[in-house]
Amino acid sequence: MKKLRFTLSEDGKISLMKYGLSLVATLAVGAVMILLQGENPAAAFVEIFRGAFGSRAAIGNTLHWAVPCMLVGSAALVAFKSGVMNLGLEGQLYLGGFVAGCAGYMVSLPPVLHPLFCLLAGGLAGMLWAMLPAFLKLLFKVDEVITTLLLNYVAIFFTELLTLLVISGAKALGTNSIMTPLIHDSAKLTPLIPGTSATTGIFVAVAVVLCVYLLYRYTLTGYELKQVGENLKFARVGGVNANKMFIIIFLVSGFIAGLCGSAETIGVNNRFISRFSSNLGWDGVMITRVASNSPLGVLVVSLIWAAFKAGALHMERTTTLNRYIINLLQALFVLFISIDYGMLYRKYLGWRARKKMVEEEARKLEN
Amino acid sequence: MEYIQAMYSTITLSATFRLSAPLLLGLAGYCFSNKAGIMNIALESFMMISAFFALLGSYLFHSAFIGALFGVVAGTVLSFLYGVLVFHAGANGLITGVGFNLSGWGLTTMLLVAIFHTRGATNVGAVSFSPIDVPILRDIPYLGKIFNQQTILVYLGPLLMLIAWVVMYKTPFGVRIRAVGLNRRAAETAGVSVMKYSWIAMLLSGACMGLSGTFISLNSLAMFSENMTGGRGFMVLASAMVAGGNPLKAMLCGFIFAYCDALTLTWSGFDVYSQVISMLPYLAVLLVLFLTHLKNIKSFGRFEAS
Repeated sequence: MKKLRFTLSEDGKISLMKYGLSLVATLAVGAVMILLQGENPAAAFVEIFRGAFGSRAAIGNTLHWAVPCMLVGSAALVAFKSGVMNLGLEGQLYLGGFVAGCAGYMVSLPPVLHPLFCLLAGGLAGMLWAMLPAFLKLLFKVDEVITTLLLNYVAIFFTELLTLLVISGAKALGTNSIMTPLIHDSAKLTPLIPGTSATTGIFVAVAVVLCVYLLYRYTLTGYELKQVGENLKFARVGGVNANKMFIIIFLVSGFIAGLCGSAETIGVNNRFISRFSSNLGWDGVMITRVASNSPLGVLVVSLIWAAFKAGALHMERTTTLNRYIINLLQALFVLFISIDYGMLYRKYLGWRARKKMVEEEARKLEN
Repeated sequence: MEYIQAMYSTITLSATFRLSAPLLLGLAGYCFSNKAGIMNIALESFMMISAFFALLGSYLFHSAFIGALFGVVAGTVLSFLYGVLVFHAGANGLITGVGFNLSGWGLTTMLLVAIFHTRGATNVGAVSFSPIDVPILRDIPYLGKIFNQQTILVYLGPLLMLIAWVVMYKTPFGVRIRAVGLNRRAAETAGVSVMKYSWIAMLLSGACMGLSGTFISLNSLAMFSENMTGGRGFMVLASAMVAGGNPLKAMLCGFIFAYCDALTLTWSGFDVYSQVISMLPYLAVLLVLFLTHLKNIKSFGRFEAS
């Protein structure tokens, strides 16, 4: 009879170490910061947990935050898995949100079709916005990192401007109150759990993540996309059209980011509000990084991320701490994760071996 | 035609000179990083965090200069942490940059709420730099209005850039930095320690971003608000990229972007959507990037992932 044994490969050990060490380090930093602000870290954590899972409303909140996290996470995954630095998710998300907001109140459609139409329109808007840096890169070799970064700022002002033009005349309202009219009831995503903020948007989000998973798992395009990221030269020799792949990556990534903006607009705010996303686009980059670019990982990490978002708001209400500490800790966790522990481990092994050798030499000399 | 008039009014040009400071101060250090082949999107967070600490230093010690010291130290410490992660721990520079930028936003907003109990701190009792009245400049008719009555940080910007140019092109140190960027292996063979010069370039950029952050929070009005830098760190990055790390060219870019920034101020009183005006500096950067890359259309078809 074969004996069942739980063993880990070298890679497995390293990634276990990576997540374990990062978690411990982040928690330690977080505990110190909470102590410095005169609160009890354990109590704060309990409040976060309560805010994320403690009641029906809390679970609803977590599910509601999971929608944008999953969508923007998969948008980032599509780009980063292929080594394309789409840092413009935030901007693509704003465009998507704006167009969905317009489609929500300008068009009249039956209930189920209307949200789908809004989502699609928003996705296409995000896609169009993503075309800009993609073409600048392909035609003129302008680094997509800097263009996408700057286009984020342009997108904020551009959607504000469009909103003002759409609601016409009402100018100089002050930047805080720039928003489109409320969308029709037919355009709203239907609530999932009555009395909570969870909507059917979660199905859309999970479906998108699964589509991305299937794309990479079973299709030729997915394989080629992965190749471009892993080894561009090899992919090119194998006959992959890198230019085409680059465009596809940007369009798909922009489309999903646009979907995320639309889902926020028709599922949460019920209108487009300027500057509604407080760095949601960047959460995507962090989520895909923590998930090591695996689609199913994005599903899990998004839920954790959403739990922290819901919990942080609750913690802010019940303690003197503010929710930005959670943003900070999430970013710190990503920084700890991005350390190459494998390399450090190998360096350590090399150093130990060298030390051993030196000691043996010394012993030989002594004898 | 008030728009045209505003374009060359002394108010706009004076604001251009003033607003060029955060870009030039940062560029004076980052040009070396750029020449040494380091792409660093964390500049934004360097600027934001050091802006906050400059305000904090000035608030605690009631001195703008101690504030500046806090800013510079904060910038240097940040660049040190970034360097450890990227040079020695094998972290991806862009992901680390994203992590830094988000930490910067989280840290400054958290501390802002925790210390000053607000998301936009003004009138907290911090001392800012005051304008200097330069005796000779005051009497020159047109130029006096533009260049006089600025703070020391504003004068420091172009000065540091000129020093950076001299160091970059006239000293052995500059040659070594450029060699590291051109060809690492060749530089190593010639006996230049790539690691040492990368580190110097990195710390220099951190210290200079600290000064530029100090300008953000302590120039003429001592204040800090959430996301106050508004992408100026990315503009520093873009200027250095367009200029290829040459301080004089970078200074020109800095002035162009500062000019658009200044127009944002002077045009905002007119009957036009403020959003159009606010977009200008970012669009200007994109336009300059586009124009300087126009020549690349010839080599269309060879895509390289970054």
